[in-house]
Amino acid sequence: MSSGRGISSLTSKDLSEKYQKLGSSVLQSQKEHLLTQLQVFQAALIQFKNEYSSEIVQNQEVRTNFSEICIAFGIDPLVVASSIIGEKNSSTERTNQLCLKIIEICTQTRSINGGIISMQDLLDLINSDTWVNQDLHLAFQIKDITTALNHLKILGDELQIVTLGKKDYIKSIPQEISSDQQKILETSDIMGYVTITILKDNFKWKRIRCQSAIDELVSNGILWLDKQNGHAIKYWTTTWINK
Amino acid sequence: MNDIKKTGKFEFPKVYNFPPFFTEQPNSNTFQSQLEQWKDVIIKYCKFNKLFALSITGKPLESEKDELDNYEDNDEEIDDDDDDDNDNEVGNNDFSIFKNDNINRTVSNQFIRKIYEFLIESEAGEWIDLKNKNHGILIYWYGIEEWSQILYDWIDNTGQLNSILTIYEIRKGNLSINQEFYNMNNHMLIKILNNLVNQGKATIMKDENNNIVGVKFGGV
Repeated sequence: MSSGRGISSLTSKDLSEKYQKLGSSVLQSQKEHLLTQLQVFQAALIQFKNEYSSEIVQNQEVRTNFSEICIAFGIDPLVVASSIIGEKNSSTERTNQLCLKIIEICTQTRSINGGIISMQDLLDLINSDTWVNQDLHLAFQIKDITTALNHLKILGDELQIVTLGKKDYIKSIPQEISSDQQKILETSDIMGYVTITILKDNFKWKRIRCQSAIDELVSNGILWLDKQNGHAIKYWTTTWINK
Repeated sequence: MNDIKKTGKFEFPKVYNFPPFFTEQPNSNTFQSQLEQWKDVIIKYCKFNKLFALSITGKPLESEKDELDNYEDNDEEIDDDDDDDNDNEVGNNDFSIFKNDNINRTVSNQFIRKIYEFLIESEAGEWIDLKNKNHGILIYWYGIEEWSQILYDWIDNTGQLNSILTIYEIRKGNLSINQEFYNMNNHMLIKILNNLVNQGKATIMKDENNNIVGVKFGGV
């Protein structure tokens, strides 16, 4: 393990080890330094926002510049804006921000849940957003979401509240959910999944009725297929991912 | 032989305990996001456990074995039809990332193949041997360019430019113990070295049998 021989090999190894240590410690301290600076800047920005919030809201130019600086330092200007407005007690603005967040989350999670998300999951996702949660100390509630959705009705009925059993869901796809499918979703939420047999036994449906309702839910990505050798096929609801 | 580290402290994401995650989903959007999530799990798991390669059934692969016996007793061979996860292995060696005993679910070989193809497509993986995929897959938790940079920077920072190193020294040398590439899969290291050669940053020296005897870093 050396390029040289005898004593020279020892020294060169020692030396390079030292260089290596030195190099990494320099890098580390630089990194820490930069991080501190960044934090100082972020704090200064928030300070600035607190002092000049009315200016930021009223003056177009200040607002644009402020947003650009925020983006450069990794702060979401939307959130900052909403917090200013929150302090100004304009609940309409806050609701509008929440509307955007709801649409964003529904779109982002569509490939996982097929466009149906339970109210609770949505709320958890909104409140776990770092900026909402840690930096603004906001905690939205279900009634906030309901209000927001009422606002969104003006834009059409793409987002709807669907009640299945005792739980509310937000549906962000145009497809209607038939009453059979509603029953299936309601049932699957109890155990996490349904099988054809469970449906046949509980609702006295014919196999074909169960299968076609399920197939549609699966092909829309609302139920997930669970197929293992030697076991009956199960169909899972995505609300159970988080359990 | 080094221990294969156990799943131990690695925390799998919640979806790993969602039974249908182990079945290929018919909806194509869902399937795409499922592939993304599998990729995420695999990369994070391998990075956490410092694994550089997985077998065709998702078991951690040690590269020592490959070097020594040239795949001769490769017990990872599979027949291409349905899943048979109960092969002759015992104890911890039975671990596969595609098998979750907590919920009793296994990914079918067909689906594993698709996940691997996806990893390769997104440049996070590469077949160890393109001609015989049963030898397994290299997992790039860093891309090949990133690895090249890491390796080259290390050489540079430790004053080893222009000196000749063996593959073994890079993978197992005292100086590289704390480096992320320590114990790297042999095949992967050679791919990275070749990449550096293409960039003119390294020269590979071979003996008459075309075996690599050493590498010299730095401009030619």
